[in-house]
Amino acid sequence: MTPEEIFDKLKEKFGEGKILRLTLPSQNGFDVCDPFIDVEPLAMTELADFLKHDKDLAFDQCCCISGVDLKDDLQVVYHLFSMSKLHKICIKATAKRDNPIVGTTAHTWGVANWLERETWDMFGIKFKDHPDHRRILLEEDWEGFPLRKDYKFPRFWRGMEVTPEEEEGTYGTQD
Amino acid sequence: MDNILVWTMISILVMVGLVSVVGIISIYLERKVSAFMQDRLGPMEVGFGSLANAIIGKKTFKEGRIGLAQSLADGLKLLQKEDIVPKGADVFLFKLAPMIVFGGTFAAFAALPLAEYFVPADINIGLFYILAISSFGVTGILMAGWASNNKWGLLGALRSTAQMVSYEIPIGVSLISIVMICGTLSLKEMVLAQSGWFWNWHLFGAISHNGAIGIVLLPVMFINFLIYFTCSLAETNRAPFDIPEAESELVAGYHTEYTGMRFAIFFLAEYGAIFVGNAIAVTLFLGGWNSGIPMLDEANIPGIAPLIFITKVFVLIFVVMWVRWTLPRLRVDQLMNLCWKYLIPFTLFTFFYVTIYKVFLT
Amino acid sequence: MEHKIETDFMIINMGPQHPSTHGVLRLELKTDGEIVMACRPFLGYLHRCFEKHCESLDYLKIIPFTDRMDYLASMNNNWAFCIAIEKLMGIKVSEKCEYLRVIVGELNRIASHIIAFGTFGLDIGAFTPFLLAFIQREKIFDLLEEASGARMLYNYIWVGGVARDVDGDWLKKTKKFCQEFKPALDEVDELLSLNKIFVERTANVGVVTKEMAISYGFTGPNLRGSGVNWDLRKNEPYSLYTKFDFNIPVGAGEQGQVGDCWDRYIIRIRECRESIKIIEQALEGISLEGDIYETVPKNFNKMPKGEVYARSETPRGEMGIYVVSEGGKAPVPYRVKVRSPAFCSLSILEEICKGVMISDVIAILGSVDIVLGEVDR
Repeated sequence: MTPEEIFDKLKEKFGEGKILRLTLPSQNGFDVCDPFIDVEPLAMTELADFLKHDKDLAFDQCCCISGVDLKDDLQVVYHLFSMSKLHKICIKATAKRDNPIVGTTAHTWGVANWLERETWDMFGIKFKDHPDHRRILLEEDWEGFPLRKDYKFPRFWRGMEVTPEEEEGTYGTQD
Repeated sequence: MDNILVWTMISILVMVGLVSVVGIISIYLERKVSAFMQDRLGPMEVGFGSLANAIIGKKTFKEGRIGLAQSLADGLKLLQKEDIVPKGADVFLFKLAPMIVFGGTFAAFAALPLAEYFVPADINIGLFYILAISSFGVTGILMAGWASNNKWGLLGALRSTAQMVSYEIPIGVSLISIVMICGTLSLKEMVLAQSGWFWNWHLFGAISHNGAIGIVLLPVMFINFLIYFTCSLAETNRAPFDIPEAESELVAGYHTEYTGMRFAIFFLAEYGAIFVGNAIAVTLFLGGWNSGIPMLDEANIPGIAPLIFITKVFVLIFVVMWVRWTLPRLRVDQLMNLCWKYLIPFTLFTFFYVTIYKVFLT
Repeated sequence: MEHKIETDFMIINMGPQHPSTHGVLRLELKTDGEIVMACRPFLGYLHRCFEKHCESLDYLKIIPFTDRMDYLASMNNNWAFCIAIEKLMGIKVSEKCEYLRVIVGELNRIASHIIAFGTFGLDIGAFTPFLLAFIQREKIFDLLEEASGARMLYNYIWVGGVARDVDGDWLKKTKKFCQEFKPALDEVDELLSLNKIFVERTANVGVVTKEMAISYGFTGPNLRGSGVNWDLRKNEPYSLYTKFDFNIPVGAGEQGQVGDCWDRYIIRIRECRESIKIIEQALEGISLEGDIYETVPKNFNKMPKGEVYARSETPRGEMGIYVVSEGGKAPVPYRVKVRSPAFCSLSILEEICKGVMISDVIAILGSVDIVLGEVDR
């Protein structure tokens, strides 16, 4: 199926409120991109279920779940692929920065469990109804979410010096 | 009276020497054999010359290229290591365990018939004694695993206990066949019964006892020998039955927490146990100190009998190493399956076969 | 008086210092004697903030960092990243460079698979095949060292080209290696694959069904071990893979069920043979004419605004690189996300390590073939 067909099908099923818009390459200010669909973050759970189990869509493989810090918002990007139908789509769920909650897809794709945990770990995006909502790469008591753009590296953690004094403030600030 | 005392002292000294020498040679051999199997060179830097040079600090001696002193150097290194007793360990048991393991193996050496004129402790229940005393070591292993306050150690000790207790049975039953044929438990008499040509060895049946008809025992004796050999691998925790110390699973099993000389003692005891296990195989199945050619035995060359005995044992040890570096490791349930479902029924079969032979054919 | 005997579960930490966790993975095993009731993996001991580093580094400077992810297959990592950036910038790489990439990539794939099945054998207890295979790995390293200057972390494949040119002598040596490798692989194969004990230990252990494999993000040899005929080199060809004639080995459950540890193991052995085929064809096809720096961009000042997700087949499976570029003058990526195949494969551990024995956990972990550098990044 082409991205347009997928978009139409989703729109038909979930309505305009949940399926926001489709972006094709060189549209909406993008020079290069894979076709993606913006969706309502909390609709992600039922959307994932439909995407996987619908006969025409059959997105059985969840390639990648990435978080992106858009400065004003936080975004979760799902790259999906169908091994039987050989089509792919990218789904983007944008959540508010002050309270980012996205519906979990861990019940649909097994791998989403860990990928969502990683996103929570790095971006602090909460996944509603996630079965095992813990940090994965960092320690449970680590403060802050490192991949957010406004993250400042701590100088001490559990009494250990993790950032040398002379380098304080040099990490994580690219501007 | 004095004579006996002197004789005992000499025997003890010889045996202490033998245990350490056997350990050191086996460890060296293990390295070289494994290197040979794996297209490597193995130890080749530490010869006696380089060791001596290192000790005196000058380049006086010629340095060898085959690493003969590697085990010795390792021993020296282990002596200098810190002796760590883990926190929360049962200190008394922790320190006692290596002694018990080593003691069990060492005591077993006492009854080995190296030659007709040299059996340190010639007791009339020699076989029974060796089997009993060498399985004493399992107590030490259990002790070590429990006392070191380490879960991997405990798992290793439990595995080891289960394994050794199970494999005692096929060992015992397979050896009983020989006892039935010989009608004695004395190791010396068993070897004496196999003198003469090599077909007198029990591996080839009971020809020396009953003449040509003894050949009917040939197949069961081969089976018995194979079963004994397999079980002795398991008894001494060698691959493919090395699950108690499976380094990829249990880190190092029961001796995970041991360092320095205590670890070395475990190591030495392990190789000692391998020697004892194969020495029993040689004594019972392969003619002990007999060369298999009567002319050579009658020539009375001094010292040849122990040499033949030890050579035979080392040939078997080579096979043990060969097996180790070829085969993967069994899982613990498969190990038990092998013992209870295959080895024990087979030994029972051979046992009945020999019984019937003994009752009806002789 | 009646005594009630209660047994308790034992919680064992396998790792981070354990010989068989292939690095610094920690598994919290809840065991009932030898039987594992639950297994919880803990990661992050090797976390080096790769993705954070990327946000402050020039595109070209990220490539050495990708080396350090899957340090057993650095070439393929370089390659995966370069594919993504080239897709973003719309660069078409010259044929000579593509040939070189295929050759070094496949050589590195063999080296990585050697570690995979070698350490798998080691986990099962077979020491010798590991060392026999290592002799061949050394030869590969010698070749790659000659081409790139490094033995493990190459930084060889650049955006738009490769770092150094090779000469005809190197091609000859590579050809000679291909000839020598085949009998050496057969030796390991004969020694290990059909060994009765090895089969007993690995067949029917850690079975991953087709559906489970896809759902849990298995890719590469693991996915093919579960009986799915899927290889990005064939199904979504990139570089020059359409030109080569090679097969995709698929697990068929020859010794047990489809998707057991033995299947995952044998796939890797067979893939080595296929890689040799590819290398031989590439050596035939390559011509030494041409400049390798022809399409290497001079600077990254004119990046388009956009994002790409590019995936390629590394020895551990599908490595996806998701790059977001702000465009304009910013020479650094806005966001880089690596979809690491080992990370995804590892997530199944919790699921399939229920009710197996401790030894089986080791076998399963070995057969999934993880590299912690890539899992933690």
